[in-house]
Amino acid sequence: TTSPIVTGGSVVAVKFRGGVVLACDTMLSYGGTLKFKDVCRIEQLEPDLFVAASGEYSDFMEVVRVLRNKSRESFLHADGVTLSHRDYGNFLRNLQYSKRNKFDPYYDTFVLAGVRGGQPFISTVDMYGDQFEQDSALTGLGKYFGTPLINNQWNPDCSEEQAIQAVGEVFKMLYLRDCKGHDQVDFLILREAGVERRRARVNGEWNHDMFRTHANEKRKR
Amino acid sequence: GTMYDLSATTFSPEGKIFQIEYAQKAIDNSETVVGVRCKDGILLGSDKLLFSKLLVPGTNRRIYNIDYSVGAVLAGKVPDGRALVSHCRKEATKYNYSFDIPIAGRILSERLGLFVNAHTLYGSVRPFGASVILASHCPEEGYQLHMVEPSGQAMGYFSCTAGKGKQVVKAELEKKAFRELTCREALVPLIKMLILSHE
Repeated sequence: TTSPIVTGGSVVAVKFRGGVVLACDTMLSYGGTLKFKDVCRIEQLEPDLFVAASGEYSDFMEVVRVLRNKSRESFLHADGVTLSHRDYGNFLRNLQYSKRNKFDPYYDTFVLAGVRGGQPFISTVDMYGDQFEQDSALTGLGKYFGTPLINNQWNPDCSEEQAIQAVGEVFKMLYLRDCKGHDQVDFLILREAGVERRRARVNGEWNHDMFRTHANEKRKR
Repeated sequence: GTMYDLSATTFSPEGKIFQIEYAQKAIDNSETVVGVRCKDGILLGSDKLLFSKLLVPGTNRRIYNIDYSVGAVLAGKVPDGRALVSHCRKEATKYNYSFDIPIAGRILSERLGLFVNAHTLYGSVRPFGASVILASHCPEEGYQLHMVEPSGQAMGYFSCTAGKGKQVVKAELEKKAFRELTCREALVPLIKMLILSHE
């Protein structure tokens, strides 16, 4: 894909003490049109590993299929050797880089998130083949709007509530400022003990004092 | 015997293809394997001889995964069987890629049958010296058991067996109604059968 058609918005993932939060909104855009309002953009690869992406959705679906096949290959061998989270990230990097070199990229930035052996894991791979394994991941405009919020409100060793709160703030900012932002967000909270999914709606504050007074002032002029 | 057994492309006057029968012989001289369809699943078992103390236990595997919902046990020559397993995996993958659902046992066994049969049609290839017993599950058709033989014949079974002790095991299978047992209940009788076939 060189020009995407149906696209997903920003993805945010942060580590907390003993787990990871992976979140993205539930919208797919068709250019500037809000085409699909209620899509869960988080896909499962393993019981303890999930992937989400921003960018062309059909490419995301295809790559998820490819990644699931890698998991299946490993299952078929039945030799006690399974793919680690890092293996998925490395494979994805190789895939993206080789596609990019053929001028036919999967037009997505992927975020892998998982917890294994008490160790949280986050890896991003973009459509050029850049791979980063870090404590937080923000894609698309989330990177620009969200990074200052994350830096101020979160650290990799914080509590789960704090992490979810920080991520929620990012999506609120995205809903208010990103044209392709949506007010419904899917949260995936990964802990060693298990996985929890939540869905929340951003409170788009239109009844803001400053907005009301200033807007009305401008109209009077 | 003579003259009609040089190639799989030749029939004998009695209507036999000797090369296929010889391939079957290779299986009949090999370890016993058994597959049984129970109430809540399928059991596959294989008598695995470690013919030397120098062998690592657990080596020479005979039971393989084909897909998330299909498994197989090999009868006869393991290298030939592994080629069949490899083909099964390819078929299952291609089918899933086209139809986005897991392949049913019935379809997979027929495809494998076609593949095996193709190796009995030309002078330049030899038949496989292995049978594959396929255990599968799909939502539409439930648990199924199939066996594919060197001739390419693929049939569905409630229970099937191949190998050295197949007569002994077959007699035992006909005696016991495995269909009514759960897998857990059938496990010990199955193991007993395999031990019995060892004699």
